[in-house]
Amino acid sequence: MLGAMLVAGLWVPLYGEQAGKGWLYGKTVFLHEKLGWGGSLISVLAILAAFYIFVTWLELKKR
Amino acid sequence: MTLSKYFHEKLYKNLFEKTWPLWLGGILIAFLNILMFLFLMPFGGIYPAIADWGIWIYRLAGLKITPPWGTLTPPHLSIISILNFGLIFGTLISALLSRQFKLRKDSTAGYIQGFAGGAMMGIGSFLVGACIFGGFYSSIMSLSLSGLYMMIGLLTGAFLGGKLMIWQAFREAEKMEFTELVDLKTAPEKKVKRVIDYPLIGLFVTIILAITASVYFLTGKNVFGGILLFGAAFGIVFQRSSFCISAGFREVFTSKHNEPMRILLLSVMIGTLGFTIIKANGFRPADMFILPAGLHSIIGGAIFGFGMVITGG
Repeated sequence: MLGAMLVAGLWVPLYGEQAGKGWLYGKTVFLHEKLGWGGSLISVLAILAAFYIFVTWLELKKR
Repeated sequence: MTLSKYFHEKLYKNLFEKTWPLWLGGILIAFLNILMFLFLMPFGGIYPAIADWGIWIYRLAGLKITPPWGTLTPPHLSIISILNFGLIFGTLISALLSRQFKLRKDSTAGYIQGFAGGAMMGIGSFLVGACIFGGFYSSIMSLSLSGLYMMIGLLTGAFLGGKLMIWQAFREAEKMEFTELVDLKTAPEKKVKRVIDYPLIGLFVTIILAITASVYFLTGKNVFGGILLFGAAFGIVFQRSSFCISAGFREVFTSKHNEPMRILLLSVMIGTLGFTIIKANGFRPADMFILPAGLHSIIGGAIFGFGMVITGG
């Protein structure tokens, strides 16, 4: 925690901008704006569910 | 049965003597996050608060450094710091009441690894623009693409960190065999430990938490009081159920026990549904908690993931 505190505090002197601002960061992408409420919700749930099935399959394969 | 015995048997034993199932922890954390989002904001801001505390250390040392997130406000008036204080309060209360409080010593190498891991988590947070809770957990729930990007990074970092942990475990096991043989011959007699009434201390800390929250409420700072209690509730659930995002990612690549990851995914799914209902119905701003998404999210997630695995949480 001390390591995180001391390193975290030095971001602005090193980078020159606050976190989330400046050349380093991309644009914000709000899935609702691209796919609508239903589309974005189904897409996110589908990705999470697919990963859920994948990790379960990995575990079953191990046995 | 007396009233005190009834509370001890029915309430205390169930809450603090039995470990809560992991799935219950995942569901409770998701619902707490939905409630806190309705109240003010989703759970996040652990690293911004830690960065603020680091800035205070630098300022005490005479260095004037600009805070990396927002403006620097005194910890007792900063929402993110108060949330973290609540989290610490809750975890401490829960550990004390369940007699699981323990100060553990580590080797010098362990402290160095912890420091390095913490530093990497700090760097990763900056690259993402938030820590694991804000950048992954609450971001995905908010339908921000950055959350999914950070997840890819976290998996990569946890994979590499897991490799290192397995290598270290084998190295430690080789050493242990040798030292245990020595210990058997020269093992000193164990000292009788002093019995400390941890639940009583836990009760005392609970009273301090209640007084602190009351001071906020009585001085009209209801949001601060509420966030402090939300933080404490999160801390209690984390401690009692051992629900841990880091463990979810770590175990996939170390023990190959994927239950923590499944519970984590279930928790995110519940939260995503709740957040979408809240946002779609206009209860909270639709674009709230949408972070920048790009390569920095993946790289930051990987550095964070590696750091969290080698630190152990």
